[in-house]
Formats: sequence, C-alpha cells, structure tokens
Amino acid sequence: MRAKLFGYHDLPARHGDYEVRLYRPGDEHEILATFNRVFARVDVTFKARTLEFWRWRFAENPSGSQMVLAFTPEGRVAGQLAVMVNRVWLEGRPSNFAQGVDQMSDAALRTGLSRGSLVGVLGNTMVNLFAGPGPEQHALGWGAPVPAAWRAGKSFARYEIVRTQQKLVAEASEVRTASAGGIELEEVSAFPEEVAELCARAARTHGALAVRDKAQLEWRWSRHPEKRCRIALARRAGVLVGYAVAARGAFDGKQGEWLLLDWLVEVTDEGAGHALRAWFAGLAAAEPARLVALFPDSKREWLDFQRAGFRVAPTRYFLIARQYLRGYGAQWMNRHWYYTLGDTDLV
Amino acid sequence: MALTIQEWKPGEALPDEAAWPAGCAGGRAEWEWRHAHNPRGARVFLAREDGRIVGQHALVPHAAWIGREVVFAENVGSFARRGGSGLAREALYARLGRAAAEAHAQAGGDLVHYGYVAGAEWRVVNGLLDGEVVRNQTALVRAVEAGPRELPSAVERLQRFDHQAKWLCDRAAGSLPAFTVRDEAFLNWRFVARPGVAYELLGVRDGAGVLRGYAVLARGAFGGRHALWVADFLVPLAELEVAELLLDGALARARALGEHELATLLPEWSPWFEVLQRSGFLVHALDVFLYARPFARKFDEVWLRDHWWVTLADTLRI
Repeated sequence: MRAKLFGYHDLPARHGDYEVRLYRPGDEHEILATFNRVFARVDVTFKARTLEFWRWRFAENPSGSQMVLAFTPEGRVAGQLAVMVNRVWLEGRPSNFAQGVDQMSDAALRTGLSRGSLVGVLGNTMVNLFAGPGPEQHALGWGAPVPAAWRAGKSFARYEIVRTQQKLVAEASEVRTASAGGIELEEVSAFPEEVAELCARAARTHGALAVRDKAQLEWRWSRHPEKRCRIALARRAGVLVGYAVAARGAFDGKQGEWLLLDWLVEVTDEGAGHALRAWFAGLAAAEPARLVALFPDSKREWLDFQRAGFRVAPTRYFLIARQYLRGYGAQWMNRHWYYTLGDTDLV
Repeated sequence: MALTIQEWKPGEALPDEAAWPAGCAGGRAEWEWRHAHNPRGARVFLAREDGRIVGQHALVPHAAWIGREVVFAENVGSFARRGGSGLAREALYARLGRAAAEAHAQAGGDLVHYGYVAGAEWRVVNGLLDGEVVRNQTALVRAVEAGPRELPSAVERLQRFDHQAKWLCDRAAGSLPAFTVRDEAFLNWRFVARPGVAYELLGVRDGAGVLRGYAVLARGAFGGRHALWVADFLVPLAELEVAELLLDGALARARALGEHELATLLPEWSPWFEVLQRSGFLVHALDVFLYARPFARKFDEVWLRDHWWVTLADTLRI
C-alpha cells in the first residue's frame, strides 16, 4: 500500500517541535549550513555549496523558486523541499512546472513526531500551496532523481516515471557531419532577444517546452557561477534558427565530458542541426573528451544524433513527474515534453 | 450471483469455452499452451459468477536465475468484467491480483510479476497492483538493405532445441545478474510448441556440432512497431563472430520475407546493446513500458532495470 499523503494547507504551521514555513530572505545561511552538512554525509565527492551559487540558483532565477522549510526551535533548518520553477509553454499556453531540487532532512535534528518523512510532509505542503490547474500554479512537479531518491519519492509523493532516461554519447571522431548549406554559425557570449521568437516557434511543435528567452538563458548559462559555457547561434538568412550550449563537466558519474547543455533548433531546419552538431564535435576535437547529449526519445533529435554517429547508453536517472493539471500526466509528458540536460538540475 | 475466485491448476479440466466472455479467451489452444503446457506450471486465477468467467489474473511463470533459481512471472491476458460501476470492475481486477500474490508471492515464492503495458492498462497495473515502471521500452531497429537472401553457410535452421541449449545458456548468460533460464524445456515450449505462431530458429555450431549461439525470429508487431523481431538471442560475448553470422542470417531472412526492418529488445546496460548499435541499429522508442511488481525489496524495479537480461523471450506478446 502506498503511504498516505499529508501536507499543510496554511503556513506557518507547527509540525511536532518544528515550525514549517516558506522561505524568508536571510534563511539562506541556515539552509546552506544544513545542505552542506547533510550532503557531505552521503556524497564523498561533495563540495560545499557557496552562498553565491545558492543566490544564483534560487534568488536570481527569472522563473522563480519556492522553498518550504522546517525549523527547529533553535532556528536551524531540519528539512527543506525546494523547487525551481520553469515557465513553460504547454500546448501554446503559458504554464509552470516545478522541479524539485535539494530535498533534504537532517536526521540529527529530527525528533519525536517529525521522525517520519519530513520531506514528504514538506513536499505535500508545497503541492497544497502551489500546485493546481491555474496559470500561476504548478501544472507539473518533476525531478530527475538518483534511484535512492526515486524510491523515497514514489511512496511519499506519488511521482510516476516519465522516462527511464538514456543519453547519447560519441567520440568526436565518430560524429558524421553533413551539409549545413546556408547556415551562418556564430559563437557568442550572450543570447540575442530574438531567441524568444525561436522558442515560441518551437513551442508550436513541442507540446511542452520550458521558456527559453534571453533572461532565462543568460541566467542559466552566461551567469552560471561555476560553468564557463560555450554558446553557438545558427542563422539562416539572418534569422535565428537554432542555438547550442556546451561545457566540460560532470554528469552521471563521469567527469570532464563535453556536455551538450542545451539545444533548440527549428524543427524544419536540418542544416542548422548539422551545423550545430559539427560545432559541438569540434569542441571535442580541439579539447578531447567524450561528447554527451540528452534528449527525450520521443523527439527527432534522438534519432538525428544517432544518425550522426552518437550511440545510446544508459544513465542511472529517472525523469519523474506528478501531474496537477488533468490530461498532462507522465505518459503525456513522455510523448510531448521537449527537454535537454539544461532543463534539469543535473548540470 | 455469488462471485467466486479460484485458482486453476494444470491437470484440471480447461475452463469451458462457453464460460468465457466474448473476446477474452484469446483462443483455447493458446490458453492451453500458456497455462497447461508451460514447464514451469501456471498461475491462473479465475473469477466466476453464475458459471460464467468474469475475470482472470493470468501469469506465465519462468525459471529465473539471480544466483539462485527463482520465479519471474509475466502477467498477460488478465482482465476483469466491465459490468457495474468502474470501481467495481477495478476491485475485481485488484482482488484477482491479490489472490495471485497471496498464493504465489510469499517468502520463497514468485519474486517478480511483470508485464508490458501501454496507455490505460498502465493505470490499472500501477493503481491496482502497485506495478512500477522498469523502463520505457526502446527497440534496436535496423533498416534492411539489399543483400543476400540466403542464410550464410555457417548458419543452420534449428528444428528444436536440445540439451545443448542449457550449456549455451550457462556459457553465455551464466555471469549475468538475472535472466530466464534457457533450457531445452523452456525454449521448445516458448518457440517451438506455441500454436499458430511460426518462429524461425537459427543456430551456429562449432566443428564438433556444439551450439555456439542462436537467434529466434518472429514476424509481427510489438510496441507499435512492425518488424522481423529477433525474439531471443544468445551468444557468449567473446564470440562476436557468431553474433555477426546470426545477424547476417536474420537480415537474409528479413529480405526473403520482404520485411523492411530487423528489430530486437535488449537491456541498455548490456554490451550487446552497444555492439548492435555499432552494427547499424538505431534505438527507437516504443509505445510500451516494462513494469514489475516485485515481492522483495532488494529486487525492485530499479534493480531489475539495471540487472535483468530481458528479451522478447520473456513476453508472450509476440
């Protein structure tokens, strides 16, 4: 039997010895203290998170974020459920998805009643407060957990698997290039305003697509506090028809690979795909490392990259979701949602 | 109007054909083959009302090896009546599933019940049986180009499997963490004796006549895709040349049969998954999930995703 779902409908609330409430400016110091304590215990490769990174991720995200927190009487953070909001085009309408990140509870601070699933309570409180069918609410809660987190999430939060995620990999020498006739490729350090128009056109093809406008992309890639990202734009007759973002980094337990962080190409423009893929492979030719990309297997990029020499390989990740808007469940998302590695918090 | 749920066991009379609701029996010969002739026995629970069958939970057990022999059983052909309210129908489906689990999934019993589902069927197994997704199933698919239509001389058609199948299984799969045991009894039941389905069995032998590898071919649709399917494939990983011969043989048969695609299912962690991609196969999404209902915490859907060598031999859907 599945666990019964419980969450608060009004905050602040008492939960055993704890006060459960939303984030207030200044909480980040205690959040970080708990985060660095909890994750250092479970990850031998863990590097302490900085205040700069926290502010970038949560305070500066143009699409917003929300945090439900449990505080001890001494004011320490015993648990957190945080989401990064994605502004989304959902079948042509503006909507929001909420990606669960940094879920934690500090066992050392948990007592009495609160020894149950504190994260589960915080998660269901988040749902009660923010999820629903309205345009300002979260239409979908989602995440890309490792197996241990999935095992917890499915029983306490009723998540379903959208996809057992696989990746596309290739060595630079294995990538086959093809004619990109008429495409002008340019490497840049900032995104143009017209990227929002490219995204709006793509949203007519993809049932669900996170908004990729200048503000969002520059926050995500140009102002990332730890990544130095390479950005390429593809234009045809002066019109932006695609872009790609790449960086060396860690993903799925491997370090230093060339990760295709984001990719959006006009569906009808094969040449733009060829040009941007050649640019991506060129990065690895100049600075050798394996190339890695991630797309839904329901989208054309999945096969385009294979035809260009990439192979499919497993990852340990699941893409999971819980729907709050009728008709847009995990199976619908499996078929219609376009995302890349950069949509997740894995990079 | 009393509803009864009873287990049917091999050796008992087959349920009267007239008792089945229209369209649910799947053919008497197929039902008998699945449940009365399976060398691992049967797991069939029938709900009857006024002498008529109003629901069935049908599992097809296989001997699986996980370092010890256990039972994995495929849920295929289960249904519950549509009469009454929706909830009533669901309750019967769930009751039948619970009866099967109570009878066969206690300690030392079946380890995993599983199946391939899509669409509304997934709602039922997830909501009523606590099934979880093992993987969104993909297929390795290769276009069949022009080429020879005859089998390579080193590839022979097998009429049936013999005791060497188990030798091959021990050599090729012995180090795998979880797999259905391929012995003479299983393979002949699965691929030779099935009524109305003509599988083609290809084999490669060494100079002494010992089976080095086999491939089983089946024409049809699976997961929304029509192809010539390699329904099962077993070759020791070190013997790539045997795999290449069998692949050439399968392509030749596809050409001879006028099929445009050769396809197969393999777990993505298997080295063969990469080998076949390097041989020209692309990975396509299918319309089905593999789900599991595990009965031991350790062997949950995540473990199964990462450890279970599962092929189309493990499903009767083709």
